[in-house]
Amino acid sequence: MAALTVRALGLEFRNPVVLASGPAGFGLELAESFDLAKVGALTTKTVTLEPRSGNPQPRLVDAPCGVLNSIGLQNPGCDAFRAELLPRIRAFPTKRIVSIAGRSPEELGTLAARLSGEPGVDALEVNLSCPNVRGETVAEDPQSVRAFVHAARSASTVPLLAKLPGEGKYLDLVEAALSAGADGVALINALRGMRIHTETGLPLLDRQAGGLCGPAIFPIALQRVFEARKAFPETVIVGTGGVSDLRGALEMLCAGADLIGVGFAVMADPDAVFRLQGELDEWLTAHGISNVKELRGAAHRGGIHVR
Amino acid sequence: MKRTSSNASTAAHEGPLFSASSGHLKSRTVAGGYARITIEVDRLSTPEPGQFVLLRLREGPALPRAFSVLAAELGRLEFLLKLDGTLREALARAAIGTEVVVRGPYGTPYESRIGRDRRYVLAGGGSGIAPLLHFAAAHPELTEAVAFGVRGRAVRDLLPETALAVEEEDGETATDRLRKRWKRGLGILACGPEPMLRGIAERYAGEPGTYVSLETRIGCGFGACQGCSIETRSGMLRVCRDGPLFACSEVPWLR
Ligand SMILES: Cc1cc2nc3c(=O)[nH]c(=O)nc-3n(C[C@H](O)[C@H](O)[C@H](O)COP(=O)(O)OP(=O)(O)OC[C@H]3O[C@@H](n4cnc5c(N)ncnc54)[C@H](O)[C@@H]3O)c2cc1C
Ligand SMILES: Cc1cc2nc3c(=O)[nH]c(=O)nc-3n(C[C@H](O)[C@H](O)[C@H](O)COP(=O)(O)O)c2cc1C
Repeated sequence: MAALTVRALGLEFRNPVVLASGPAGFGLELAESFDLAKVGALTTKTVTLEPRSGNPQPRLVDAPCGVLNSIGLQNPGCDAFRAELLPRIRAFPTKRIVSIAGRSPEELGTLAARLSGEPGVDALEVNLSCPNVRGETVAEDPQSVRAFVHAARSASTVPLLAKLPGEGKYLDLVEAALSAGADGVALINALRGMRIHTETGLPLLDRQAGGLCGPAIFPIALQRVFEARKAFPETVIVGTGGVSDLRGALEMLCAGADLIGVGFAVMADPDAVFRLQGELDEWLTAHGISNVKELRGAAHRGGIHVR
Repeated sequence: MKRTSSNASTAAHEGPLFSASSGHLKSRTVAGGYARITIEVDRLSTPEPGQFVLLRLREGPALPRAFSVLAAELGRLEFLLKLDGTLREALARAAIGTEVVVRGPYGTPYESRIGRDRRYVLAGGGSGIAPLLHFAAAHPELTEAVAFGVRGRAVRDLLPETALAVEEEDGETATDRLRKRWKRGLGILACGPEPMLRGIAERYAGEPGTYVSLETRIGCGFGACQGCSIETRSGMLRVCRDGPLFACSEVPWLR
């Protein structure tokens, strides 16, 4: 048995597999059929201050090797989350990262203050990169990233992650988030993409663009994580985007991820996600590697086994 | 807006078996732009009428697709596919014996959504007749009549056990047939293309006992991702878990 425990953000994760924000919802349905102790953490669907009903249908559009999503942050709002969902999430045998988003730094600060310190909130993840809500893709410039992260940091005492896009000058955004007090980053959110209806010639999604996720974006996400690790050797990175199997998880670790975020695969093949920790253990053991830590960033230091 | 996880979800089928099972394409007949296929699969609880499963081919689209069950017995599922789209066309070409990954069953069975205090006319169009045929076979006591709109004669060859009337022969659509068979006191279970459902909603939404089975693209299938959620009078509800059957009056946008 290899050691799979990851110490990051001042927390101990049982293994590096993290359910990314969104596809797993609040984990309640998954918990009916799967043992959440088999993942290192659950990231909740993004919670906002007020309830949101999200975008109209269609919300999912097919894409080669993945899907375009346009959910639009549907969630019950902070108060209902605290009163009705958190007590149930608290009981999960895994770490809980609560994803939050705000329309302004002030709103985000209020939200962070209400959730920080609640039992069951092991960490907060500020979603700065949702491609699906108008005027809230705040993560396009470092200044606003700094303002939002600073607001969340000042209002909370729990570890803080910034969820960033993999587009544009993403390394500047990582830098901005870290300098404003984030303890780490989740990279990447879904990438903007679109499809057009061939009978009407019009975009298939109401909001034209949606967030492309799934295996289609894996090589892109991997490269962004690799670059971020190179630029920030010490920071915590939740490498997210297109991981669907053991090989993807191993590559993410070698690129420099501390933890591996899994989104689309939870929708497409949840069994595979809950098998990952076992497969990782077997692979490490078969390769004579005693601790998963040894893979972290291997691509930056001459490969596996070369230390 | 009401909260996302509505009380409607706590109806009948909590705690389904989610695990995907490896099945195999056992048989297939193709006619008139449709295919009827049989998949053999172990380790899957038998779907009830109105429930659906998610199907995936190893070499097919990454996101599994939802299919209502036409007929089910232990270890054996039948489907009626409209041959229009990536996975359905792949299933129409795949060699017999090809592995098909099956996950489910999901969704609330029709029977636990509707009132048992009346009988129903089953109005179906296209592949939407599949869950209704399943329902009619399982619940003759709740089935008053069928009103199916199927265009071509060829489709009847796929369903020899039914005396399917087709539009090509008598010029009648599902809505025409429904109009003849429905009378006050009867309910309606409708499943089919959106224009057909809209037509039915326009005329019968105010009648008690009118239900529509809705289709949106399904994500996870088990109610977590909100990919399939629709606006209803009780807030956002999930087609995959709160539905797929909804009281017609719950979905005013259909009218
Ligand atoms: C509960 C439920 C039960 C269902 N039961 C059945 C069933 O019993 N039988 C059945 O046949 N279907 C059923 N469906 C529908 C089926 O799940 C979907 O149609 C699914 O997308 C089929 O997958 P596919 O890969 O074959 O088609 P896809 O490739 O997903 O295509 C779906 C449709 O979109 C069109 N399309 C795709 N891309 C474009 C584009 N760029 N421009 C214009 N049009 C485009 C295709 O032509 C096709 O009509 C059900 C759906 C639900 C929600
Ligand atoms: C249906 C769906 C909903 C999502 N919702 C959120 C969300 O609420 N907040 C967020 O930060 N990311 C959200 N994401 C993005 C994922 O967390 C992830 O960053 C992205 O999809 C790339 O990873 P993947 O390819 O493993 O899915 C969502 C993704 C999907 C597919």
